[in-house]
Amino acid sequence: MTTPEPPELLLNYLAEMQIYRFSPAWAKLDADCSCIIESAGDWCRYIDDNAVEPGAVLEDTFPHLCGQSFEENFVLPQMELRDGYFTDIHGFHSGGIPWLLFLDVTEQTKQEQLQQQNANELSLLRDQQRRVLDRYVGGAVTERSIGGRLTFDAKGERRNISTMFIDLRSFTIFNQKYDPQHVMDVLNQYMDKMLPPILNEFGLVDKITGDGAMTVFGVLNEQEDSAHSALRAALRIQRDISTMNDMRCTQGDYVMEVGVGIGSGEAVIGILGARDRRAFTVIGPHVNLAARLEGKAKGGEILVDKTTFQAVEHLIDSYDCVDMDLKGIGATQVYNLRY
Amino acid sequence: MSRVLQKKVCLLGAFAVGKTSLVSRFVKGIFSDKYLSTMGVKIDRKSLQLDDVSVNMMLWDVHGEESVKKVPAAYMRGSAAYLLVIDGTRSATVDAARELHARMQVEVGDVPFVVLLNKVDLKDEWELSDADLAAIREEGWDCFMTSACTGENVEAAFVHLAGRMIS
Repeated sequence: MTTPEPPELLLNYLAEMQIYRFSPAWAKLDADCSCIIESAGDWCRYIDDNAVEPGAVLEDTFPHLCGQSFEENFVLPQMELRDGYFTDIHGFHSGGIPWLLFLDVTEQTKQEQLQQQNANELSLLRDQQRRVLDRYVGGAVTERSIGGRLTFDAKGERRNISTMFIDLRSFTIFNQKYDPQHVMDVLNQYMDKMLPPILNEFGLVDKITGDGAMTVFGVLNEQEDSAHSALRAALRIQRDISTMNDMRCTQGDYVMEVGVGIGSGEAVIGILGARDRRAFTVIGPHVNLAARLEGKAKGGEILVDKTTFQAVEHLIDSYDCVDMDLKGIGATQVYNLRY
Repeated sequence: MSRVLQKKVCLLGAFAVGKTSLVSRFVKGIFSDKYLSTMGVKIDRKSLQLDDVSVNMMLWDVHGEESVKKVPAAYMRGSAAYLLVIDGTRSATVDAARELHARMQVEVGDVPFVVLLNKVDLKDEWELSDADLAAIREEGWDCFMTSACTGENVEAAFVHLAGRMIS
């Protein structure tokens, strides 16, 4: 069944509606498309200064069309020829004669622009969040987090992990002695040396405490032995800080060393908090132990517990084993690793 | 006697790399940090006098390339030169620039172009590594580190491109 042709009255009504909607303006061109032969329509809507009159040179009247080929029909959509006004420009041949047709699409384009703006801003925000996450927790966490593969629930999850605390020695004196802005700048220089080795070993920077940090290994990369990763990160930190300190020393700058404490064992990792404020958390006896070891470590030292030591013993050249009385824990065997 | 040339020059790149801001800085000498997404093409013009040649650049500030909204080939055709804009703080914008460059080669062939590594004023937030920059330069592309915000190298990049158009 074919649809019957609408009556002429209806066709005229529809045509008028469209013509009203688009405010067309058109120009008939000469055979080589360099001059205007005839023109009509609402041209003042589209161009400011030039009259679109018979005999006018096309490139003078429409300079934005320079370089445009008229060999084939074309459509240039959403051309903003005047600020805030959008035009679809059609170039076509009808009966062997070239024509230019300008249609006002401002209203539709502005509606589309709102959606486009929102979509782009959302995308930029996502990018920005990824960069911030990347900067603070490293690419590995960011990828897993954005991909939805880093999920823990409130119940938590048991895993064997290593926790490492690092802290700048002599920071308190430095903080009291210098201008806060200078302290912030220098702290950032030290953080630039301390955090990348952790992120490179798939460590998670749980907390930055101003002059130190709590980091966890074995959460992001379960295949790798967490104690090995923690040790590699600790060694890299000590070496990089030592190199930086040598340079600072020769420049007469204030120097700070880093104390490191590592503990390993089973822990529950999960999300702790109330509805509006949640944080990643690690709970286990070795976490407290690692914090105590870091507290005892002198600048340049790496102190580890027995579990960590047994896991990395084959990787180290020498060590000292001492008994220490650790606050809240009691007498503990502690290993001071030489590197 | 001075020669006058009128040339279509496209600015191409991913969305929010700073194309509109670069044109605004070059043409009007102003900068706004408010982001307003470009729809279709925004046309501007600027004349440069290079020795005895006056180059009228018709600047086609084309909307950002996106996976769901590609730049139409009709915008590219007829270009005498183009600028590829990369946002140094978003490494993914390099891929968009490469793709647009490849499409321009198909549509307009071997015409002059320059690469603007924009937002150099935000160097602390740059994602492009030295290796990325070396890879871009290895392609033999003319690169300028620009900032629409401070104006750094903006005029220089456009003047360089105009010079290549008349040489």
